[in-house]
Amino acid sequence: MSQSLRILRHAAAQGLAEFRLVYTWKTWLSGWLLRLLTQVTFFALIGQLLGSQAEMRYIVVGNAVALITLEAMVVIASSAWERQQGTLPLLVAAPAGHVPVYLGRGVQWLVTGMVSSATALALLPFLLGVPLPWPRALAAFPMLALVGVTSYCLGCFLASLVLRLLALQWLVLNLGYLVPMTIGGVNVPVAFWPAWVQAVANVLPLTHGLRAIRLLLAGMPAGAVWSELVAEAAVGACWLLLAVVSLNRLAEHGRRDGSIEFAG
Amino acid sequence: MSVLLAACRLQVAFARRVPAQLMVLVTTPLVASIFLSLALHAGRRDLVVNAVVAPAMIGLWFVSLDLAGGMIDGERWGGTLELLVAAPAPLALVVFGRTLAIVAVGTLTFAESWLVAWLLFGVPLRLAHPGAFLLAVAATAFAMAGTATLLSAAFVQSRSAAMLQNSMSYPFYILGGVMVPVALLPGWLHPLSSVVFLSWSGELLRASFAPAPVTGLAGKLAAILLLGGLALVAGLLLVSRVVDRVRRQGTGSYA
Repeated sequence: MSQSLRILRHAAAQGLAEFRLVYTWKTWLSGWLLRLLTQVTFFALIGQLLGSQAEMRYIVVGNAVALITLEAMVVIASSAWERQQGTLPLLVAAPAGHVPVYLGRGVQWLVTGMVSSATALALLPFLLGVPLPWPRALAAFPMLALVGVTSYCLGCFLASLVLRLLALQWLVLNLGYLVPMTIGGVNVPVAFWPAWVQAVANVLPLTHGLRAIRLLLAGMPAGAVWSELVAEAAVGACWLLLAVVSLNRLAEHGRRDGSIEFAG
Repeated sequence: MSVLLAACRLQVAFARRVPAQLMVLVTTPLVASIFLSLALHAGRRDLVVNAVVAPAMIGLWFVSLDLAGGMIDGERWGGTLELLVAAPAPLALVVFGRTLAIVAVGTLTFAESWLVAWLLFGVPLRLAHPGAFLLAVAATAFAMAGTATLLSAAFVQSRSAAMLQNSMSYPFYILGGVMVPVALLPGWLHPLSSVVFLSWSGELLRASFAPAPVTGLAGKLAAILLLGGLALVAGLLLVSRVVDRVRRQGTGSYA
């Protein structure tokens, strides 16, 4: 266990180094963060077009929270890059195996996602004239972190699939956040969709966590909020389990059919 | 013309080999579902047109930007930039031809969006002015390809191309009034919007679904073509500068 944690820590350090290669603080703030804030603003303007303040606040909160799901999905690209580096055979042969490395490969995006999402949630409702109920809204921030972790678990599972077919990495990454963003209660309540779509939404990350945040902001009883949080955590745990199983199967299959090549 | 056609054929072959380049054909139905759900949940059937046109315009912009972001660098990584620079055909025309091909395929997103509204949401839209619509789509595709040519040269000169590429999406969707008409944006943004061709395209595309006659068709088409043309000329000049620099400095390959 402690060995796995140590490997996770090193994988995360590698990820942070990779982040510094892609961005400086200046380019991250003026490029990426600004882009995410305009994304939420774009949807907020649609809320304004729809003509109701309540609608606009619903959309701003939903899209601000969804940013963390979007960024968590970048673990798919980071895992694909790791695979393209050709390190998989070495990792599989190592005593600790490849699973902890792949699970820790994109945690930097979880951290930046938390910052982006929290910034959007703290700033945009105020700037757009649909303020949140402070100080109650403060409790939404730890909930954001939970949504990030559960989204990351789904991202790790999707990454384990992409490692078998690297050409699909960007497509899967985009679907990984667009599907929860479409049906997970970000812009319209989950109940808007047909029953089978609702069933899918309920086993995806974001849906329950976002509902918990909305219940909190609406001042609903703590019990209702907690039950949604527990559901969100359970969804994340299931996706993590599937990710571990799938990553292990990748190595088993690779050993059998010789598909763990040294180069990506 | 033969260079343009050859570049188009090359891009179609690339897209067949790497279908991820046409990812937008998979993501557009989801984006359309988001916009349609917003309009229908609020009981605003009058906004279904916006919800159908916006995802297609976003799809076109995305696919152009995606291609522009990596085209010249892709040639460099593939070791073919030196050959392209040495060939008699101007690289700028190859770049424009390739973007034109991908944008032409990208126009399928309009059909996709319309089908999502009809088949998944049960709101078939009647195209009241097909002629105006087709002209608007053709002019928009031209302007997209012109803009992508300019961006491909600009990106290759930038050290943060991916970052630039990422940040050029939603600000332009807002300024271009792709979903929310420019008239509803703050007044100080209007002059900026008028130099983003998407704003003229969006207006024309939405108007072609309305039963009322399309007003100012020629003027709006001219604005799209002018802005796209200016971007294309700037792009052709910039690509030529890139070619000159590659020739002078011998930076045609990473090897």
